[in-house]
Amino acid sequence: MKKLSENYYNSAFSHIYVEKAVREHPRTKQILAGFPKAWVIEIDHYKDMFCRRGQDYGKQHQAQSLILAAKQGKLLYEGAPVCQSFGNPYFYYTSCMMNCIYDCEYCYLKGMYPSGNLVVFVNLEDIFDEIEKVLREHDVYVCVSYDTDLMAFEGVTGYTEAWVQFAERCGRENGVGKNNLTLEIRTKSANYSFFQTVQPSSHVVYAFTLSPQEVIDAYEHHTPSLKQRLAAAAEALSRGFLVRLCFDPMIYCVGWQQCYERMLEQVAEQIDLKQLLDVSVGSFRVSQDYLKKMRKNAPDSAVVQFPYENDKGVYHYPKELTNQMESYLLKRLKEYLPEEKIFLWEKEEN
Amino acid sequence: MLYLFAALYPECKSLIRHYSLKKDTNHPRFQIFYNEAAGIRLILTGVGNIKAAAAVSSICTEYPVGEEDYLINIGTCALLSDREAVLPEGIFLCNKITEQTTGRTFYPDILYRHSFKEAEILTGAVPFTTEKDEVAGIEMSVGESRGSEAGYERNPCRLYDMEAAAIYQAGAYFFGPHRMMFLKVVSDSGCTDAVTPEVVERKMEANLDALTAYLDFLRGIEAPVALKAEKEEKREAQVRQLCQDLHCSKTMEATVTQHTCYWSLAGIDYQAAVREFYADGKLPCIDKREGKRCFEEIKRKLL
Repeated sequence: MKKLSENYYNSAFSHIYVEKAVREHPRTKQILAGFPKAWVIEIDHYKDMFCRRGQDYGKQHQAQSLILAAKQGKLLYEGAPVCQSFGNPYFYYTSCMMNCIYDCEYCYLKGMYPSGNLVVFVNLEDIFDEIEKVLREHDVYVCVSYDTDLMAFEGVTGYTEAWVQFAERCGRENGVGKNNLTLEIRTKSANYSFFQTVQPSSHVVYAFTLSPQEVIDAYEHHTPSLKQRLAAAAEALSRGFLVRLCFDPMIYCVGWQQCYERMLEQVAEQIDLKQLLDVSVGSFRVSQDYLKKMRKNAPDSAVVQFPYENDKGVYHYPKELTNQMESYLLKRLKEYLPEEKIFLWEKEEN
Repeated sequence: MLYLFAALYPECKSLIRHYSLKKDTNHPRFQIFYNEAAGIRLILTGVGNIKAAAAVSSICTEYPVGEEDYLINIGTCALLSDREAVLPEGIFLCNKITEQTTGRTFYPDILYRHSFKEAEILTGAVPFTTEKDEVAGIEMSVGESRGSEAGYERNPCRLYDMEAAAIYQAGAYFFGPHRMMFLKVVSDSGCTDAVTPEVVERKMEANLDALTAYLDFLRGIEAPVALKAEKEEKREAQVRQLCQDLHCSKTMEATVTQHTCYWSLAGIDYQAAVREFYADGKLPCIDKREGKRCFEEIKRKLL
């Protein structure tokens, strides 16, 4: 018997669960080829694995398993009220992956999903078909990386590139004057090389979520540093990609103002803010049902155990603190950007 | 605490000796062997689904299961094979359990490192024998084909026992899927006559080192948890005292608890602030109204 290491957990994706229905799917084979040493276990339906009783999200996240499945039922969802629509009247989101390789303590996925394992739906084309159907009716703005971080997993799935190709194809086929598709790909990754290999598209917005380095160190585990994220955003801008910066969620920490000030200085140093498509600002907020689960799953997380205030089913920082944090950042951002390029979540709600 | 469930005495005789487990003579229904200091309780369930489920349910109700406890099913099993096969050596950790009678499948999480081979197991109601028709029937009930047509290697071994699925289902009332492990040693491939108590004992004895290394590893995982619980208890006692001195209602008590929890996790020294309030005579408060005012002041000071 080998000596058991002090690290208790298996490596990520040491186990891959595959729905029988997709075991012959080309994407299944392509993904599995990237994990030649993994145990591959066949399952009937991804929920048999993902929705079991009594799972420990935190522990599973330490040794994430991968589940390959087919997405069925509803494939496109209307944007949630707690999410920013950036003024788009037809705001949707879709989930071609569930869960994330990053481990942000405050992430709502920890309250939304019963499992910390990562699900990849391999039937991406079915989602594309659904979007094309809606696109026949009106413009469509879709966030494709809400319940995951697609770009962070790009090396395994190639999904971001597939989405970009789809958006480009829709743009070509629909032509001028027809309904327009815009995708938002939100990420905390620093996938610098992606922007060197993929062509910019006027239909795709790359939204980089930024936090002060102190917040990244404390709560955004396994994510790239602020400097790395900014370097990727700068590379994207320099090559003509549409870039959005998301200062959302703003996270409170002791000395938050100094932390956010330092972050802004770094942003201004690495990025020409005038080139940005826009920015979004919003302090942390989460539905009460999710927070209840998050608190149970993460009893040792300060950001989760913060005494938030409940306002009609949504937990957020005390009003005074929310105003202080958001006003401060808005004021500072206005020094660099015109007001119409700055989106505040509360403004949208009103 | 590790709760070990085995069907038969020969399957765990070497473990009982290794951990110096003592027999609990007070238990009327199942044979139990334990060593409190080692954190191990071993239960002999008897053979079959009903006995296994009854044992898990009975023991886990009698000894309330904590968050740091594990359920481990240990035992021998048959190798499911429709051809002559050399019996594989070593211990198998089961990653998929199918109940033959219902076709339901269960997946224990394999989160922790181990040095075993992995396999899926079929749990049936009767002993497995090698008559060809029966093997074919079982293969169909698992619903899988052998071979590599999928282009990747699946579980190379499939096992058969008479308890795992029942133990999983009964255990799921008390343990999460990451706290249940199913460890099996292959004793035969359908020739039940050859499986004598001596053979079983010898097979288990041969794997004792690997088995105990894994059990010791699991016990090691939970050692820090126990220390943390002790620290948490101390903090809770202090918060209870503070709530009492603030004359908290139930709602306010929850608010105070949430705040103190956050402060201690965020490294904010609320205890120093509270001590100041005691020193200034602001605590204990005389009534609920003053308590509320006092707590607002503490909050303002710390947030």
